[in-house]
Parts: sequence; C-alpha cells; structure tokens
Amino acid sequence: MSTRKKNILKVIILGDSGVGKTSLMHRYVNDKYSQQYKATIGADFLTKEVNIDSDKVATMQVWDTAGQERFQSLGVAFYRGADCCVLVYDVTNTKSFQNIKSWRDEFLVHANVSTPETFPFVLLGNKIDTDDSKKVVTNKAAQELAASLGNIPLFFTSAKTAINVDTAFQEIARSALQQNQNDADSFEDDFNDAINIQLDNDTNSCSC
Amino acid sequence: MLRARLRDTIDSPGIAAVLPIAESKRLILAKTDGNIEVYSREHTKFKLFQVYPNILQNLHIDDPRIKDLLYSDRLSTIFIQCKNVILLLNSYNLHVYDRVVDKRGISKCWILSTEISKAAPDSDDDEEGTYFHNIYNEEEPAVDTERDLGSDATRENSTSTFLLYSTAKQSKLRLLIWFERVYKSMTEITLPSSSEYVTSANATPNGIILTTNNAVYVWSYTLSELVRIRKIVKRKYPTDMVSAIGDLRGQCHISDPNRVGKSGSSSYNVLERVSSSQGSNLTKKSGFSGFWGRKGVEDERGYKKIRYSFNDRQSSTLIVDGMTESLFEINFENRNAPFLISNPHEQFFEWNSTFETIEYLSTDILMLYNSNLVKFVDYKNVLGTYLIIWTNNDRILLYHYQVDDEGSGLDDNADNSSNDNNSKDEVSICGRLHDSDFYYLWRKVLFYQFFLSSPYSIELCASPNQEESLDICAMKLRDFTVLWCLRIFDSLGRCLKIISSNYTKSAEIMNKNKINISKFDRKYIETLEEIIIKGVYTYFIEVWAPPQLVILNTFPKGISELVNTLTNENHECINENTNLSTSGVFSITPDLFKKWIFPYLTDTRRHLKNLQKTGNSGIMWNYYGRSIKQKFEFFLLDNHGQLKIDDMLRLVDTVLFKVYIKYVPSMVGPLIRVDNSCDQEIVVTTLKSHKMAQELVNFYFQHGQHQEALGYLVNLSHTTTDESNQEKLKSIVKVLVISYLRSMDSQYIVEIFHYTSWLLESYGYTDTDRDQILEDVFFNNKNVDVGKNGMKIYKFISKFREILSLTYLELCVSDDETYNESLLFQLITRYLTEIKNGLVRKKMRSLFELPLDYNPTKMFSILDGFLENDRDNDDNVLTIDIRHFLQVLETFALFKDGKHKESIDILYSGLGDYQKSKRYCDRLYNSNKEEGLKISIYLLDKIIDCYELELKEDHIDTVKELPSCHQILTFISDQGTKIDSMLLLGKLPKSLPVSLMKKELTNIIIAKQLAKEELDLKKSLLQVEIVNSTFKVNEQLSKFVTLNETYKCSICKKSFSTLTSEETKWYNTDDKDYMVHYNCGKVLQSRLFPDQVKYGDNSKGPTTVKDIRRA
Repeated sequence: MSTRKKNILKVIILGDSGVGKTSLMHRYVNDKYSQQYKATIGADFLTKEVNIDSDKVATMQVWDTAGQERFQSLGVAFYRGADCCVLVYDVTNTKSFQNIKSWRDEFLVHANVSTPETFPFVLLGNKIDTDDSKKVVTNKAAQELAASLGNIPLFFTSAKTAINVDTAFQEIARSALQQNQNDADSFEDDFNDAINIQLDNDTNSCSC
Repeated sequence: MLRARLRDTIDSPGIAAVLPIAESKRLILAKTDGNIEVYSREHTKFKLFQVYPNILQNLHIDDPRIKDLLYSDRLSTIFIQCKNVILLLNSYNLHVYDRVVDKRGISKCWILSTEISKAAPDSDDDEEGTYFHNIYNEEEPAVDTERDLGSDATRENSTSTFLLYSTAKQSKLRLLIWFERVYKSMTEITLPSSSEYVTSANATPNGIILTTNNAVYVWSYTLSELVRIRKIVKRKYPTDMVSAIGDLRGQCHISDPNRVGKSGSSSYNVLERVSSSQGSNLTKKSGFSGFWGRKGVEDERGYKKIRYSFNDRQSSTLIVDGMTESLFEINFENRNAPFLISNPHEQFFEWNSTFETIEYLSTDILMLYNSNLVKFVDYKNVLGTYLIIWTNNDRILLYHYQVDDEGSGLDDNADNSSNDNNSKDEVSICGRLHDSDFYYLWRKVLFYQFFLSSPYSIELCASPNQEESLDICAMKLRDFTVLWCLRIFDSLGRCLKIISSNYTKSAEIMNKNKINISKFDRKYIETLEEIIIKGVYTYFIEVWAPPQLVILNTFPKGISELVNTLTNENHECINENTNLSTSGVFSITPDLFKKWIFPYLTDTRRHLKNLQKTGNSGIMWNYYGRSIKQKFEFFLLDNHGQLKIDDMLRLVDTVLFKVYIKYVPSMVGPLIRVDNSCDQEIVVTTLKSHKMAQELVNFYFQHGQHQEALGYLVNLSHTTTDESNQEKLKSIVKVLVISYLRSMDSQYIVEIFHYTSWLLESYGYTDTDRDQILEDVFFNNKNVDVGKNGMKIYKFISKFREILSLTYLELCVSDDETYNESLLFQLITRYLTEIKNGLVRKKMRSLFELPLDYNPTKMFSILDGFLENDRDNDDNVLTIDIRHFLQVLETFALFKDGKHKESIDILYSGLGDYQKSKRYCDRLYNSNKEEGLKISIYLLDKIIDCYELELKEDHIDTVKELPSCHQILTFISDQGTKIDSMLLLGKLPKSLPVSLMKKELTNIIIAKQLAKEELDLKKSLLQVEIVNSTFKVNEQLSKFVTLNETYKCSICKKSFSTLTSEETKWYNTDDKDYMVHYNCGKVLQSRLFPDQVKYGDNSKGPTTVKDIRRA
C-alpha cells in the first residue's frame, strides 16, 4: 500500500561538540544563526519540506545530536531508519577533523544500516567564514578524507554566513532520497484484494 | 492474577435500572415504583445518600416506567429512558431540565462521545470545514463564539456528545448532537432494511460506527449520512508474533507430505492454535441475571449475535463479530471509503462461546458475560477497580478487585488459588493445547503489561508499598517477557525444522507424482519468520534481556558456545530449566540477523558501556511507565558465577564481532576501529583465518599492540610462495606498513625508526625509493610530535639521505605546527655550510625576515662564531660580500634581542650603509614608536659624529661636499616629520648652513601645518556633534504625557488614579507613547522575560510595548 512507503527523509548530523551541528540545522531549516553556543542535550530534530531536482518533494527530518557523549545516550530507536548521515568538522579544529572517521564507524556500528558499504555519508567542513590564519584543516586533507571514506560528497560551509549550507543540504536530501527509495522498494502492499465475507445475518432481508 | 473480593451488598427489591457513575462514586438505582435511590460509595461501602420519591410523577408522561438510565459526564446529565420519552436530568440534583419525546416509542439508547480533531494531520481543510458546517449548521454563531474565546485547545479538539436511540421500529434511529456542552442539532437515520437493528454504536473521530445485525455503517460527520462499509480485506501477513507463530504452525500442517495431492479445505488441525486475544477469568457468581437490564441467553452459541464495536488503546476502531468469528479493524485512511480488515478470531469465540454479551469498559477491557459468569478479556484495564453486579434477585454486589502483590502470590495465584474458577479457566483456555507453558507465560506477559499500563495501576495494587510493588511487577514482566520470547523463538525453530523436513519429503513425492507444490509458500513463511524474529528481539531490546540467556538460546551454535568459553561458566542448566530445544539447531537467515539481532547486541553493549562508565552506580531502565535504576546484576543470570562488566562487554563485543564476520564482514572494520572489548585471542585468530589483514592491523592498533601489528605485516610478505603474488603482496605490505607507521604517535618513535629502517632495507633500492619511503613516513605526519622528536627524525633521515634531511628541516620550520627552535638552528647551521651558494643565502635571508620565535642570543652566537671562524665549508676565507651578508643577518638577531644600537653600529658604523640603517629604524618605528624614535636619534648622532669627523679631517671649503652632510639632509627628509622639530634643530651641527636645509625644513613645516589643520577640523566636528546631542537630550527631557480620567492602562485597561501619586511605566512604540501601571508593566515583563527580571538583567529586556508585543 502506498501509505506504507516512507516519505520522510531521516538525516542524522554527527560531529564533535561545538563544530556547529545545531547551527547548521537551524541555518538550513529556519535560516537563522545564533552566536551563542548552547550544548545540545540528547537529540533534537527539525523538519523541512524539500524539493529535490525540482520534481520530488519530501519531508526532511534533520536530527541533531549532542556531540559531548559519543552515542552512549542514544538508543537504537534513534538511528533506526536513518537515510543519510552528515559528518561535520570544524575547519579551525584539527581534533574534530581527526574524529570524523570515528564518528562514521560509531554510526555504522549503532545504526545497523542495511548496506554499510553504500550508505550515504556527507562530509561538511564548517566555519569557513573564520580568518584563514585560524583554519588548520586544509581543503586538501578534507578532500583526501572524503576520498578515503568512499568518495563521499564534501562541502565547506558556514552556518554563520550561510555559505554553501543550502547546497550541502540539497545534496544530503538527494542522497537520503536515493537511500530512502532503495528501502521503500522493498515495501509491498499490506492487504490482499477485497475478500468476500458475508456480514448479512438475514439472507432473506430486503432493503425495500 | 486479579483477585475480586465482595465488599458490599445492597438489597433493594424492584430495581428497574442501574446507573453507576464512576466519576462521582455514585450509584443510581431506578425502581419500578418510580423512586430513584442515590447511593454514594465511601471506600468499599455503599451508603444510601438520597431517595427521590416518584420523580416522574408530575411530568405528564404517558408511561412513566423507567427502562434504562444513561449518563454523560460531559453534559453532567442523567438520561432516563421511558417508553416514548427520554428525560434529561441534572446529575447533581436530579432536576429534570429537558425531555426528548418520540411518539414512535423508544427501544434502546446509546450515549456516545468523542474528541474530534479540527486539524487532523492528514485531513483536508475544506473537508473539516464542511464537517463543522454540516453537523452544527443550525447554530453556527455558537461555534464562532467558541472560536472567539481564542482557546487553541477549543479549536483543535472538541468533544462532541451524541444521544442515539432507536425507535420502537428498530430500523429508525434518531441522533441528537452536542458540541462541547451546547446542543447543536438532531438528525434522523434510517437503516436500509426494516428488519435491521443496531447491535452497537461507537463514536470515533472519523464518524459514528453503527453495527447492525446485517452490516457495519459509518455515520459520517462530513456527509451527515449513513455509509455502509462494503469492502472487507484481509491482511497478507499477521501483525504480531503470536499470530505469526500460529500461522507458522498452520504451515507445518499444510506442508505435511501426507496432505500433498489431496484437494483439501483450508481448515487445518493446528498443532497449537492461538488467538490475539485471550481471557482472564476473574470471578464467577451464580444467579446473575445480566447487566443493566439485559437478559441472559442460554444458547451456547449465543455469541453468534455479537457484533460489537469499540476503540482500543491506540484509538483503533475494532468490531468483534460473532457471526463471522472475526475481529475487524476499520481503516479510515481514505475517509470517504473506509474498509474493514478482517482478522480470524475463531479461537476467541471457541474459548468464550458461552457468552452472548460483550461490554467494553471504558479504559480498555472487554467484559464478556452471561447469566452465570463474568469474564474480562485483554483489552486494557478496567475503569477504576470496582465492579458492580446486579443479580437476578435485585441485589447490588460491589466487588473490589486488585492484584495480589506478594512476589510468589502473583505467580501462584493462577495455579494454586483455592478459587476453582482459575483451574477451570486454565482448562478452558489451554486444555486442548500441547504447549500450556507458552500460554501461561503469554497470559502473564499480557496481564502485567495491562496492569502496568493501567492509569489505575496504583489502585489495583494491593500492596502497602505500591510503588515498590509496581517496580517488582515491571521486573517480573521483564522476566516473563524474556522467557515467553524464548519460547516463541523455540517454537519458530521447531516449526521451521518441520516445514523444511516436510518440504523435502513433499518435493520427493511431487516429483514422483508430477504434481505442483502450490501449497508451500516460502515467501509467506519467510515473512512470518521475520515478524517473529522482529517481535522477539524488539522485546529483548526493550527489556534489556540478559545477554547470556539470549545468546545461548537464539544464536548459532558456534557463536553461542562463546558464552561458556568467555565466561568460564556452564550454562547447560538454562536449557534444562526452560525446556528449550532449539539452541544451536535453528539458524536465523543473514538478512534477519542484520535487521533485528544486531540492534539487540549494539544496544546491550551501549547499556553495559554506560554502566562501566558510571562505575556500576546504575543506569535508568524505563519500562511501562516505571523508571528503575538498574545495576550490572540486571544483566546477569540467577545462580551463576560472579561476572564483571568487563567480562560481559567482552562477551557481547566478541559475539558482535563473530556475527559481523559471519553475516556482514564489511562491519568488522568499523567495530574493530571503535573502542571495543573484543576478546583478543578470538579476534586475532579469526581475522587471521579470514585473511582480513587491514582489520587485524586496526585491531592491534586499537589495543596499542604496534609491535604485533607491524610484526604481522612484515611476516605477511612471506606468507605466499607464488612469486608473482609475492611481489604484489610485498608492495601491499609496504603501503600497509607505511600507513601504519604514519598513524603511530611519538611515544612509539623507536618502533617507527625500527620499521622504517626495515622498509629502507627491504624496499630502498634506489635513492628515489629511499626518499619516497622517508617522505611517506615522516613528512606531514601529524601524529608525531615534531617539537619533541623533530631532531631525532632529522638525524634518522640524515643517516640515510642527507639532502632529504635538509628538506625535512625546511618543511618543519616553514610550518607553524611543526616549527621548532632547535630545528631552525640546525637549519641555519646547515645553510652556513652552503653559504657560498647564492640560493642558500636567499633562503637564509627570507628565513630571517619571517617572524620566527627563537633565542636571538643563540642565533647571534651561531652567526658570530661563523664570522669569527672566517672559514667556509671548503676552509676558504669568507668573502667580504658573505661577511656583510652575515653581519646584516646578525642585525635581525639583535633586533629581536632589543640591541638596536649594536645593530646601528653594525649597519652604519660597520658596513657604512645608511639605507640599511634607515630601513632598520623604520622597521623598529613601525613596531615600537618610542624605541624607533630613540634609535633614529641615535642614528642622527652617528651621522653628525661622522660629519664632525669628516669636517675636521678633510679641510674642505664647503660642507656641502661632505658625504655625511648629504646623509644629514637625507635623514632630515626621511625622519624629520617623526622627530620633534626643536630637538632636531638642537641636534643639527651649527656649521651646517640653513640654506642647505631649506627644502627639507620647509617640508617639515608644511607637514606639521597640515597635521595641525586636521586636528582643528576634527575638533570643530566634535563640537557640532555635542550641540546636536544636547538638543536631542533637551527634546527628550521636555516630553510629557497627560493622564486624565479617561486614559487607561494599555495592559489592564483600567484608568489611573488621579488622587494618589502612582508610579507608572512609559513605553514608546510606533512613535506613540503608552503609559501603563508600574505593576502591570513589571508583571507582564516578568512573565515574558522571566530570566532577565530574575537576574536583574534589563539590558536585553523589553524596553517598549513593541518589544513586548514582538515577544
């Protein structure tokens, strides 16, 4: 039955604490940015209608996570049905970049995705609005990492100045939709065709 | 399980109707003599509260005999049904305030109510609009009034109450509608057939469901008409695992080879039949005449007349239908064409065949009854914990039922109770079945689920410490659930084994007889298997099932053996105790393993890690509304050894590793790379046997076993004898070793050097090869701390490639992250050996110009030592150019050391280079103005000294010819504007003619004049700004507002007192002034911005009404 088919794209944002996951989500969904840092507790999500390639419409559910504690507070239900995972690092923080692989591995172990080899990941290098002198992760290193993770899409973004955020999320939506359709293809109708069960107690009854 | 105790009995002969009102704990009895008795329940006793004598006497009713009583809490109204009138009484004082008269006669009434969502998520707005318009079209303004109140809740969800009654001719119905508490409309409904009568009515948010003896209808709010539901579908697959296991058992029979070739009916003799609803027999009393005026039917198959609609806990609308022995769900996804989903329910009716009446008790339990017996079945819990029974001899019995809390009592109650009904119930439910343990467990699970989820669970609990008892119940439910799930899993294994065996036999027979096997539906069986596996493991995840038990009983043999191996415990007793048989026999398909079993392992691992992190101080387990702090013991089995968290984590991680190896090898890498507790020996052996070199190396790395990892990689190249493969393998090993060395940090620098040497020996055939290896290992290696190990690495590289070591130094020095002072000195020393090379000098120069951090004294001593030695690398005397070059470099070190005079001495006195001296002064002036001026004056003094000297020595006619005179003029031109003019003039030699300085001095005067004019202009501008600001301040100070008697506070809309001196707050928004009471302003401010008010932070608070509105 068509109603069983998912039309919600579940996207999970992961990365070290303070890399700008929440800001990216708010920038994309609400087009807002707050300078004030507030640590996320547990997980939170926002939704946005997305138009992909101008002919497909879906609801993207963007799940923001707390970067402080890696996965230990989030149960299997959180990851179930994820269609795309966004890995975020801060271009001014080497450690956050080095941890990207760990985030990916942790996600794969916890999310139990159907095809780990092809599951869509997107890499975002955030805070590119900062001075060049403060940037410690080179574009080349990021490109090498993206290539080593299976040529995953890479975007350099700034939630603060809205650089590349929409473009990145368009790609995220596209990847998620592709994954979602792969999963949806396995759905089938819930019900058989109409069956003949006689509810009429009085077979001689007449409506007139 | 539930124990009912008779608490009170009322003898009241001549009862015509009974109405219990749970909300007010009252019981209304209508008597045949027209009296109404009102009883009030205090604890467990009924007390006669009031008698209303012959209440209908003066109401001019043709036949005042009361037939039935109904109640609507929403309308606070009691409805009295008589022969052709329904009276509406105020429920507090039983005052008749209205009546519904129908001369056709009234045979049966229903009071229904439902919440109707105005903004249903999938609803069409227009349709909703139509709905409201249709059912409330008579008094539309009333709806608007409600809307005008501005309550979102009112707009979103509205409770509607319906009074439905059938006339004496039962196919004619009338429906009266109240919206909230306001009467809206009345409508007539006629059933299509004159012989049709309503068996039940049920209000849902989608419409009123009317079941009749012939059909099922929806009275649609949108259309205001009756729509017959004609379409009935059947699910392809069951929705729950109990039904699935029942169906699977059916498949065992279908696949029986003895049936092959026979054209059989679809009915089959199941091994063990189940139904999705089974009962819990609570109490039995003889002499019941039925409930609320219904008379018992003696026919054993009285259930055939049952067709009853109700809403379950998830608000699904269901119909229990005795005629078709089905349970129908109504699907409203398409509101205009609802359809029924049929679920076979024969077993339910077989078990409950003696009951002809069903009553849905409002919080989710179905009560079945006849003249002898009352039975509750599993649709949720009962309203309150009291049950009122009206017996044949007009006695009212009040029962209070509770759950016995004693630990063993909960278990023993069903088996050992003296009440013979329980034993009878066991027989009636399970007597025909082989697997009574299964049903026993299932009943326990269902019971505790409903008990814990009941809003009355506290009241139902007979224990003095109810909260603790409920926690124990949750734990019991967990234990029963685990055992029940294991039992289901066991049954699944047995069924699949039978089916597989039958299939093989059937295939042989069919091949022999050339018959097609159409009965065997592999896909169907696989789907059932998935439903069961999913259900079982979802429960395991919810209840945090003990890993040892789950792994032992549900995992493939090779993996389940790990429990004994890794815990050093013998668990054979588990299977003996639980009578499970499938351990190691039945293996789950890889696909199902991936989908449903991995999550159990990863989630269990997560809980154990959380426990480990908290030092086993406990983590919260939330289950059925209970939050219980659980420690590690929760994951252990009773009467087994003393495992520690680390041991259990080792078991779970190793099992996860093993199942990944078996089912998803691509997940081994991620697991190995994250922090894990896998058993090292098993992992290493397994990975080696599977030739998963990368994963093994990652595992070693994760555990800091670098020697083992590198040793393994080194030996890997010798593992093949095939020459072509050996070459290929060798090159792979090279890449892996380099990659590994790069990932090691500084503390393993010795190992890094050791294996790099090995690489150089094994692969360093040419200089290029060696360079490549050294570059790959050491260059741009972020894991090695160059600050501490840079020199060691440099020396190591030098040992093999001298040229490359220089590049290494240059690379380290040029990168901020790897910069190190000692490397810089080393680099300078290396450059000095090549000082003859012009390119090296250029590099040196640019290096000194960089703002590097180093010890200037040491740098100066290196350069000075080299100059003193006066010998280059070839032991030749240094050329004058090189000496000058090095002296200039020395000034960079002196500059850093703050020894500027020494620098000027070198540059001006030593090298006689005025331009370089001047540039030095400028550089210093730019970084430190004061020091820059001082050193400029020092330079001027030097020039003047030189001038004086030249003047004495040369005896020339005009000073103009002196070189130092020219330098003085140049100095005045360059630095004159920076230095104080008087000081400059004072310093200039008296012998220097003013005419010579004409141009330079004029330039100074002009520059000073321009600076002065700029200052004056700035001053004037600031004065203008002061005038403007003063004007604005005065303007604000002169503002006023007049508060007369008619002026009202914008917030409370009350006027200001003219007699007292009251404080006010003044806001300005949209260029308008608003005065509000001081307290009004403060209160509103504190509500809208509590934080700012609390912490006294007014900076971000609202300053105007506009701010408040915006907030």
